[in-house]
Amino acid sequence: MYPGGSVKKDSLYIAILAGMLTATAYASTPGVDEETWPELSLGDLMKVGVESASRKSQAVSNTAAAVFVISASDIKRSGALTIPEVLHLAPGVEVARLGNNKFAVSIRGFNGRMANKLLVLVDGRSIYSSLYGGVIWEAENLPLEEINRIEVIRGSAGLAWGSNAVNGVINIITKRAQDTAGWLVDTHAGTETGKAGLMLRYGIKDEDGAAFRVTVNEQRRDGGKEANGKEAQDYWNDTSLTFRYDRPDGVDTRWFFSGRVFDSHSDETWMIPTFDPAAMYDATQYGATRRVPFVSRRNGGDLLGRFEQTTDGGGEVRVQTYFEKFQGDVPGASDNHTTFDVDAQHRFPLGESHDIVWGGNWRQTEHKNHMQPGGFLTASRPDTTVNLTSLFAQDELTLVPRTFSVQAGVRVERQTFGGTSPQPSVRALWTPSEQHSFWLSWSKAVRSPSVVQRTMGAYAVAIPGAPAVLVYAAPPEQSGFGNEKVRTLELGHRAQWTPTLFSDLSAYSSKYEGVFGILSQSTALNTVIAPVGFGGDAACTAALINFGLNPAAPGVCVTHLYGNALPVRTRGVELSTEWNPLPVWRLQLNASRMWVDAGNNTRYEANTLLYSSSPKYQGSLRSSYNLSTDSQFDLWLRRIGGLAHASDYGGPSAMTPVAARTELDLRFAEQVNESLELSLTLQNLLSKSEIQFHPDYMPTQPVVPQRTIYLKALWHDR
Amino acid sequence: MKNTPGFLLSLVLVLATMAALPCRAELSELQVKSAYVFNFIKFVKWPASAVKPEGRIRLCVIGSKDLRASLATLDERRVGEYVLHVAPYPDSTEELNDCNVLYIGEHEQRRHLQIIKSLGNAPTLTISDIQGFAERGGGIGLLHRDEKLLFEVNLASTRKAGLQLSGQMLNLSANVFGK
Repeated sequence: MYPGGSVKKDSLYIAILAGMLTATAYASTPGVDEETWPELSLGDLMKVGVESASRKSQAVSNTAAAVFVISASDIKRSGALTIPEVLHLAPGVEVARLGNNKFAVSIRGFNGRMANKLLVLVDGRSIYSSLYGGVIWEAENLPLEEINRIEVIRGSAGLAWGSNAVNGVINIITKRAQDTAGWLVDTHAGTETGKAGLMLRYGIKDEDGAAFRVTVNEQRRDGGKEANGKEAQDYWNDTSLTFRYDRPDGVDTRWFFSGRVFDSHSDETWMIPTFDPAAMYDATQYGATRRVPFVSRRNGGDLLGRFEQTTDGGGEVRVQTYFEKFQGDVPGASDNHTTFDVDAQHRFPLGESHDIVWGGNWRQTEHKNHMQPGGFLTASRPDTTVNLTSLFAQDELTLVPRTFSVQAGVRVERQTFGGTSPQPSVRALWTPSEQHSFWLSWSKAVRSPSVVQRTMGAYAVAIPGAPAVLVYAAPPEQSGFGNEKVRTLELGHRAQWTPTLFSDLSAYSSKYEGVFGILSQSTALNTVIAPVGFGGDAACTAALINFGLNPAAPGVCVTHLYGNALPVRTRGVELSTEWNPLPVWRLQLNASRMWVDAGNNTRYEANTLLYSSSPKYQGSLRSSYNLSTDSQFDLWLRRIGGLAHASDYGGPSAMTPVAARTELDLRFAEQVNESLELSLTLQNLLSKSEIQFHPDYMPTQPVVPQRTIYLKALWHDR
Repeated sequence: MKNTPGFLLSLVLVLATMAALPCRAELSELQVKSAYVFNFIKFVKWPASAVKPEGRIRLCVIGSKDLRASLATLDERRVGEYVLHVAPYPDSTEELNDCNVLYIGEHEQRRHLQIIKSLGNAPTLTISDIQGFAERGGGIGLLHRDEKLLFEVNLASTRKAGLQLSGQMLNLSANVFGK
C-alpha cells in the first residue's frame, strides 16, 4: 500500500522528480546536426525519435466527425494498465472506477457500469453485451502492448457502425503481426492495480510478408478499500492467450485471422436487499441490505477472419466474420452466450467526385441465462436469441476537390426487440486549407433494447439509507420497450495553427427520444406501492416467491411499467489541443463541458440517474518529455467534475456524494539498452480515498481507488 | 480540493524548468520524412527509358503542402546518380503519371488507392505515410513504431513500375511485401 498523502508529501515527490529531470536533461547527449540532415543514412533515420502524429494526420484531413486517435505511444506513455484507463486520454470520454476491477465508461453522458450508448469494437468485433447493454470491461483484458491505436469517435455513428453507436464508438485496433516479430516480454510488479503482470509474445515473419504471433498474458490486481476504510473485495486476475496471422496474397489481397481464449476472475460485494429481518445487515450503513461477497468468473474465446481486396478502380472489398463464446456469472444468474457475425462492405470511387460505400451485417447471439432463486434478478425468458441485420449505403460527394465535400447515407437495421429502424446521416466537410477544416453533421442513431431490459422479471434494489425495495417489472414485456432514438447535430473545427500547435474543437446538441425509464404516472399500470408487507399485491407476492423470499416480509415492493419513457437533451463542447514547444516535449490539453436536461420527472431510477451519472466538466493535461534519447518523463493531470447529487432530483438523500477530483499520474522511463526499457509509474497520486461513482442496477459496493506504484520492464529481442 | 494550489505550483515549476532547458537540435518529423524521401532515391534505379543516368528525378508531393515545402529546400541537389527536381504542386491527377517519385500525404488518404491504381505500370516510386500503404499496393510506406519512423516496401509494386531497389535498402526495411 502506498503511504497516505498530504500537501507536503505530494509537493515533495514533485520536487524530487523535478530534480531528477533537470539533472538527466543536462546530461543528455546532443541530437542530430540541423544542417546536414538530408545526408543522414537510412540506418540513422531509423534511430531518430519521432513522436507519433497519428492524431493530427487522421483527424485534420478527411473526417466530418469528432475523432480522436490514441496511438500505441500514447498508451505506453500514459502508464495505464487497463483499456478504460487508456480511454481517459481522449477528450469527452467519461471514465469512473467503481473499484480496481469495475469501470463505468461512456461518452457524452449516460455513464454507468453498463453504459449502453457507447459501442466498443476490437478489430471490428463488437464487445457490446446484448444481454445487459454495455461492455463488461472485466472480460476485456487485451494486453495493451498488442494495441496499434484506439480510435475514439464521439457522436452518433449509426450509419457507419450500426446500432448502439448512439453517443460514440471506440474502435480498438491491434498491431499487425508484421509489426510484432521476435520475442517480447512485458512484465510489471507493484501495488494495487499494478500488482503483477507478465506478457510473453513471439512473432515470426516469412519471406512473402506473411506474419504470425502468439501472446500469453497474465495480470493480477489487488483489492482496494471501501469508503469506510474496510479492505474491499475487488481483486482481478486474468489469463489470456491470443494470436494473430496476417497474410498478404499478391499486391491486392490481404487475409487476417485472430483469436483469443481467456479466463478472468474477480471478486466484489453486492448489497442485496434483505426481506428477512433475521438476516444480518448493517442498517446504519446500507439500509436493509445484506452484503453478499462473491467471486465472478468469466471465460470464453473468439475467432475472427477478414478478407480485404483492392479492386482495379481503386476501391476496396472487405468481408469479415467472427464467432464468440462467453460465459460469466453474477449472484444468482449466469450469462452464457454465443455470437456469430458476418460483415461485408464495398467502397469504390464513382466518376470523378463520388465515393460510395455500401454493405451489410448479420449477427446472431444466442443467450442461455441461468437464473437461480435467491439471486437479485429474475427474467421472464432466460433463453433468448437476438438477431441483428442491417444494410447501409453512403455517398461522399466532392463538390470542390480537396476543399468541400458532402457525405450522406442511411443504414436500415432490424433487431429482434427493436424492430426495423433507419439511421440516416448527413455530413459536410470544408477544408479551406490543409491547416484548417470545418465540419457540420446531422445524424440519427438508435439503441436496441438489451435482453435484460426486455425480459426482466424482478430485481432487488439496495439504496444506502433507504428501505429494501423489490422492483417488479410487471407484467414482463408488456411495456414493449423498443429502440431509444437520438438525433444529433454537431459541428467542429480542426486547425494546425503552426507545425507544432494543433487544436480540435467540437460542439454538439443531442435530442433523445424514448430513453429507458418508468412510464409516466398517468399510465394505469404504472406504479403500485404496497408499503406494509407484500401481501397487498399479487404480482409482488409472486415475484417474492420466485426469489425464494418470504412474501410476508417487511419492505417496499414497487411495480414498474418500463418503457420508452424519457425525453432527454444533452449539449456540450469538447476541446483537444496538442503543442510541441520543443521537439522532445509534447503537451496535450483536453477539456469538455456538458449540459443535461432530462426534465423534472423526479422519480428515482429514471432521470435522477441521468443527472448524477456524468460530470459536468472534465479536463486533462498531459506532458510527455524526452529527457534524453533514452529517458522519458510523463505527467498526466486530470480534473473531473463531481456528480450531481441524486437527492437534488428526488433520489435517496443518504447516498454519499461524489465530489470533484484531481488525479495525477507520473511515469519515468529509461531505455537501458536497445532491448530493455525500465519504467516506474505512480498512479492516482492525489487520491483522497473517495468513491468515484455509484453503482447502477447491479448493486455492487463501490470501492475507493488507491494509489498505485509499479515498476515495469519491457524487453524485446529486436 | 485543498492541495491543488501547492500541487499546481510544483507543476508550474517543473514545466518552467523543462522550458528553460537549452533546446537540443532534434529533427522534426517533417525533416525525418524529407530525409527518408531523399535517401530512398539513392537506393532506387529507374529504367533508362524513364530517367537517363545522371538525369533529373521529378519528385511530386500531394496531400501535404508542409512536406512539399520541406523537400523544396532540397531542389536541384545531387542525390546518388541523379539530380532532384521538386515539381510544383500538381493541379490535377493527370500530371501524376510524369512523376518519378510521388509522395502521397495524409490529405489524399481518401483517394490514395485510386491514385496508385491509376498509375498502372508507370515508372513511379510511390511513397506515403498513410497506414497500410505498402501492404495495399503502394511502393514504400512510412510507419511509426516505438516512437521511431520506419519504412516498409512492396516489391511486387516497385517491380511492376520497373524500379530496381538495392538490397541494402531491403535489408533495412521493416517489412518486405510481395517478394
